[in-house]
Amino acid sequence: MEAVGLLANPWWVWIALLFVATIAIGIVAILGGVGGGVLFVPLVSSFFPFHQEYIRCAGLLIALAGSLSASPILIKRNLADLRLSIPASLIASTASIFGARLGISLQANVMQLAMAFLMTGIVILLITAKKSEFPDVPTNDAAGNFLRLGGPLLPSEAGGKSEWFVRNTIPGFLLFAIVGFLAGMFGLGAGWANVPVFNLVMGVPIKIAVATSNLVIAMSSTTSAWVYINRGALLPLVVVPSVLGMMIGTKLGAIFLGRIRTSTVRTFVIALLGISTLISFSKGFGIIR
Amino acid sequence: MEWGTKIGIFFACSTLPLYISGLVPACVKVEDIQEYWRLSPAEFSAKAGTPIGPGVWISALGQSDNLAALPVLFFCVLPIVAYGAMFPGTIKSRDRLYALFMLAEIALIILAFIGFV
Repeated sequence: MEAVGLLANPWWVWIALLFVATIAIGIVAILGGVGGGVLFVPLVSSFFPFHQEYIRCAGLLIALAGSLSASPILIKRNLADLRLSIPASLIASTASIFGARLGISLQANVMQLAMAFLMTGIVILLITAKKSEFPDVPTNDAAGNFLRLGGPLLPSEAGGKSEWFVRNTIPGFLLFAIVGFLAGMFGLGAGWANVPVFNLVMGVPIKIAVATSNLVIAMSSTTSAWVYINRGALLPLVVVPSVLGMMIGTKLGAIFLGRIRTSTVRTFVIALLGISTLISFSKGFGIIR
Repeated sequence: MEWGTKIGIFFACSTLPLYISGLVPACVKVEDIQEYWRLSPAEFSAKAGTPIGPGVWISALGQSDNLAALPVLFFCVLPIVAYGAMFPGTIKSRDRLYALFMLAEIALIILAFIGFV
């Protein structure tokens, strides 16, 4: 390839910008305590020229790659609970297929509007949702007992407790159907919803909820990703730099964690999502292209 | 899973340059991609004359853009490998319900892969 040809053809500019943007998204996601997937799709949809389906497919694959990378470590440290994740994953991944199918069948401007409404809900959730480090659940409910959920808490995580249990097991697992559906439809990682369901609805300690969410994301992203891939929505030029950028960004974010005030970053992230939501509304209503 | 992800990333870094450099022919040349990436996958396929559908990419692995996709597709197989590795232990401990959950998940991923769902 000639250098003059490269400079005249800006395709590589977009890809380079995408790579840098996903590094930044990865850093900010870790520092802000927000999933990379929930930032990637709305931000890239707002500022890059790629069709939504390629972005959603890339979003699912980013979420998958990230969770595959993190899950083994979390399992080894007894933070991610397999017994909790397996039924949740099955429900979420089944629903994500239907979500992906609906997302593909809707027109682009309808999807933009739908995503704008979803992002509005996510922004509100991020602002208002509380975390419960060690929910007060004295024992498993009947379904939790039947599935033999719960487990010991590490002494460093215990907060005075020796074991954790679950409540609202069936309603909680049923909520994963909604979460999986939305994740498949919009190509978002589902951490923003998995964690509140595990933590606030089912009473799982926050660190176990966050870690187990990774396992659920791995499964639900896989099934819905295949729906997009089989439709031809995998564009390597979009996916590969995005996955690499996100992985580099999350590693850097982990390094910076503790050195930067995370509440400030979180406020910045919420503001960024707000701007992206406005852009999505504008695109959905045809105000901007 | 940890090693699988690293292997996938390594191959992604190896195959994408093949596509970008043009050393291996592609379905759509990288210089032309800007004409296509605003189009929906169906419009892309119609304009480029590339077929889409379950497993079609397998037959087109000789094209560098499909080759560049292969490492990423490898990620989508890893969850099956992970469950497959855990399955014998679940059977051994006679945890039939969870064995059934795992089988159902593996079946679901395979059905999604072949385009049946």
